[in-house]
Parts: sequence; C-alpha cells; structure tokens
Amino acid sequence: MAFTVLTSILCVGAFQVNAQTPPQSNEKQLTIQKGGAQIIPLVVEDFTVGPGATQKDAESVYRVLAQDLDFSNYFIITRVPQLVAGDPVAVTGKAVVRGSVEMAGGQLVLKGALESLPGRTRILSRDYATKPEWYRETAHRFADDIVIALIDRDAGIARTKIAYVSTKTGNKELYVVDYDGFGVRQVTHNRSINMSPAWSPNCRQLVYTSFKKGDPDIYVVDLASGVERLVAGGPGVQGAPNFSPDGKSILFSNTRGRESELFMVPAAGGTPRRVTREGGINTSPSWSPDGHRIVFTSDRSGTPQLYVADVDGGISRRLTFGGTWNDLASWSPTGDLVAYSARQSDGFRVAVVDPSGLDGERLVTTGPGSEEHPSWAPNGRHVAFSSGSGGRSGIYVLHIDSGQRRELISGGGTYQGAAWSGVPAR
Amino acid sequence: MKEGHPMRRSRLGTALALCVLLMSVLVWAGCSKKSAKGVETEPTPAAPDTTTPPPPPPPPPPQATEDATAWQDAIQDVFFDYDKYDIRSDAREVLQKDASGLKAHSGGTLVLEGHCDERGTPEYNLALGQRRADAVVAYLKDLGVETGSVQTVSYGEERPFAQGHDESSWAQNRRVHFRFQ
Repeated sequence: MAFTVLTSILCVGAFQVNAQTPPQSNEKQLTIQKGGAQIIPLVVEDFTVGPGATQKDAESVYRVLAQDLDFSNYFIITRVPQLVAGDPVAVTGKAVVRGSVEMAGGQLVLKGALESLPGRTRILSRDYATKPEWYRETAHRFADDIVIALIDRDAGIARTKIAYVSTKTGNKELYVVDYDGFGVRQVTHNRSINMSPAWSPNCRQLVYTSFKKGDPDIYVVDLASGVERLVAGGPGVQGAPNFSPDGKSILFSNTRGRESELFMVPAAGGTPRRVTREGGINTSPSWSPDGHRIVFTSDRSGTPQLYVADVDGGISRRLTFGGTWNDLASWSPTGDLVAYSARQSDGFRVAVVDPSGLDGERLVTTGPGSEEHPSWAPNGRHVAFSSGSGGRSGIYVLHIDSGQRRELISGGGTYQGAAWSGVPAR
Repeated sequence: MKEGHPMRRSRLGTALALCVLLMSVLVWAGCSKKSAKGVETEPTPAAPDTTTPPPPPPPPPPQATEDATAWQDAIQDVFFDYDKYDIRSDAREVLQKDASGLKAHSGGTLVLEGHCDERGTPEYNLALGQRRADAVVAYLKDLGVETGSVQTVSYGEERPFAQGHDESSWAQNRRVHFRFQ
C-alpha cells in the first residue's frame, strides 16, 4: 500500500501519551504534554468527493490541511487512499483524519472527522461551511481542531497571520500574510518609513511606528477598515510599541532630551504614563502573558541587554549577560521562554532564554545573514523572524524544539520586523 | 538585517533627491565636511561609494560675501562611536566652531538629524539617533547657543549617508547632521 511520509523527521522523540486521562474518556485520550520533541503518527485518508463537489475541490482542501498538519510540527503523516484493516499504520498510527467535501447552498462544506487508532473511536466530527473561495480557511479550521483535540493547551496556528516590514515598493511599508505564506496584503501605503508592527490581541489591529508626519510616532491601524489613528506623537522618538495581553494598553519607548524610557498609553487614547525610570536607552518592550511583567532592552550596563521588570514599576533584573548586544525580546505566549536578537560577530542570531533567569542564553539559529526580531506564535513553539541571509532577505519560521525552519516569504526587497498574531476568533 | 540592495538604492534615491533639493538653497553639510580630527577610524566623509549611484555634485565653493546663508556651509556634522551618544573630543572641537557660527548668525530653522550605522536593530537605533541629536543640542546650549527653536529628528539606521557595509561607511553614518530649513 503506497503512502507518503510528508514530514521529515528532524527530531525523533517519544510522544508522551497523557496517562492521567481516564481510559473510558476518548476525549483528549491522545493528549500530549507540550515541550520537548513530540511526533504523533497520524494517518490522513484521501478526502471523498461529496454531492456537488469535484475531485479538484476535495484535493484543494486536502492539500491545505496536509500542509497545516505538517507545519504544526506535531505529526508524522501517513497518507492513504482509505485506511483498511490490516494496514500496519492502522495499528502504529494514533489517529486517522477523514474528510469529505461537498457543495451545498453555494457553500463549500467540509465534513471532517478524527478517529483514534486502533479502535477507531470518534474524537472529532464537524462540518465546516464557507464560501468556496475561502477553502483555505476551511482547511485551516479543521487543522486547528485536530491540534486542539490531540494536543494539550494548543489552539493551533493554522489561522494566524504574520505582519512584517518590506521594501518591495521602495519604501518601508507594513504587510500581513497568512502563517503559511499565502494571502500577502499591504497594510500601509504612505511612502514613508513604517516599522515595528505588533498585533492587538483580537488580531484586528496593528500598532506600529511611522515617519509619515516627519518623525517617528505611533499609530494603530484597523485592518478591516484601514482607518489609522495616532496613539503617541510629539517631538522625539515614539517607537517600539506593543499591545498589552488584554489589549487595553500600549507600551512604547519615548526618547526625547535626556530621557529614553518606556511609557504606557491607553489603547483607546489618552495621556501616557511613565513605566521605567532607568536612565540610558530603554526600548523594545514585550509583555509577559499574564500582563504583569515586561522584558525590554536597556543600555544601562554599557551595552544593550535584556531586563525584566514589573509593569507597575519596581526594580528591574538583568536577564542576558552574553555578548555585547541583546535586543528585541519577545516573551512567549506560553510564558516559558523569551526569544531575542543576540549579536554575533557577523550579525544577529535568534536566541532564547528562560525569563526566570534559571536557564542560560541559547542560540537557536545559525545564519547565514543577520537574523532578527523573533516573534512567537501563540503556541509558544514556533517563532517568526527576519533574515538578510546572503542577500536573500525574508521572513522565516523556526520550530524551536526541532530547529526545523521554513521560508515564509522572501524576494523583491528586504524584510524585517516580523510579528506573529494571536489566534483569531471564529 | 538589511542586505537588500533594492531598498538601499531606493533609500539612497530618496536621500539624494532630498540633498539636491536642499542644495538649491544651501550646501549639504555632509558633502562639504572635512574629516573630523583625531580619530583613526574616521573616514573622509566625501569618500566615494562604489556600490551606489553617483553622489550629488560637489557643493559650490563658499561665497560668504554674496550669500546670506553661506555661513551655514561652515557648520560641520559631528560623528559618534559605535553604540555611543556621548560627544567625542574631536566632536567638541567641531561643535565649538559650529556654536560660534550659530551664535553669530540667525535665520532659518536648524534641524539636527540623528543617524546610526546599520549594525544595531532598527528600533534601538531610533532611540540611539535621538540621543545623539539631543546630546548635540545640549552641548550647543552649554556653549551658549540659543537652542529653543532647534528641532531634532532621529532617522536611526533608516537613511544612511554611506551605503557600504564596512567600518568606513558605518563611521560616516554614526552622525548628527545639521540641516537648515
């Protein structure tokens, strides 16, 4: 029986079946714990063609789903036309994915199902109906549901997007792209310098820095309407903005006169209040997922290094010590790691450090080119970053556990400032 | 970080257009500067850049008696060390001369542009460029220059003067540029 292994096994590790789950409960029976290298053998049947649909419809949805499962880095995928008794993967596989595609009332309907193996107990059964042209979204929803069903505390990333800066038009403008590289969309068109995009938690807005009025100020743009509004302006630099996890506040760096400190302003607008009183340069803040702490860059030691502080004030603690330039921290949405840009002799590399300071600084990319501005996926397992590798600047995605990386987008200019969205509401 | 040449060309194009525009009323200070003294890494600011389109035409020789803004030609940019925003000793000498010129004349709005080399991160360099511009304002004020109307803007690493990727270019790009408007 012919099958194709889609996922190259870069890391081979034992998957941890959640032994605490009562055996009579099929829900979450296969749930694994996050962290470490985990590969779940997953069987994916060819989708069947339902009423009103064509073979091409079914294959289009199937291809997106298979890529989503691959990009999740959770699965070893075995594709079979139909799983039959006696097939070895019916025993070695942990679950089987099935689907049929049909057209009903002008909508494309994917009837998706997930069954455990070898018992073939139903784990998930759901119909996904969208406009036919949104078939990618249909597949993404099913892929996320499979991850939610099988993986503990992971809502999937197949419907997330990544914002970035590109010079494709000759100016630094902001763009948004689906997490798999499809659906590139230019967000700003002001022919100025735009940089440092960051997502609102509801994934509907970007906050960013723009020179469109002459010097760097902070704006929020609503992605659906395109409406922009000034959040922090005035003389000097207002830069490196970031939404709080509850979406109510925006933290940013204000540099003016002899001050370069972090300030917080209500996202709806208002008077900024100062957060740090450190002296030197303080910039590029990122929030802890609980919204109580921040990690940011400060040069008070003489070189740019990362520090952690309570957002309500208090003493900050130095987090990085290696190297002469550690910058652009991104606190993992799962809280366990901070990713950042660590300068090496030939440019930056992406590095991670435990925000508690208990685990040392560790490089997770090896070049070539300068690799900067890591941003975590909401699952806390992947980071997007920009690279100028060997003249081929682009945005890349790295799976932290395995080191596997893929190119998201490149060519036609330089890229920087990657920012990964949260999980959008359905 | 930013190896892409298309961006460099376009950015340079913007910078060149700006320079040409400015030179219709004044001399682009960065083109006419003499090398700052006493620093071995300091390149000649007018050093040719082999990787980019030709630089703007050289500024006309000073004609102080004929042009009300000719004194501005003598105002020189100042340069900084890597990741630093304190005023170097050679920059102090330059700023003392600049201060004399600024105190002896009036008219026009002075904009101090803070610039950085490309080796940091764009976000940090925005702050660094501002600190450089503000440090020059503070130094000029200490020298008795009326700085109330002086404006500052940081371009970070976004608008480099030299387009190369070596120390000679980087040293030119770590500067505060005097622009009169």
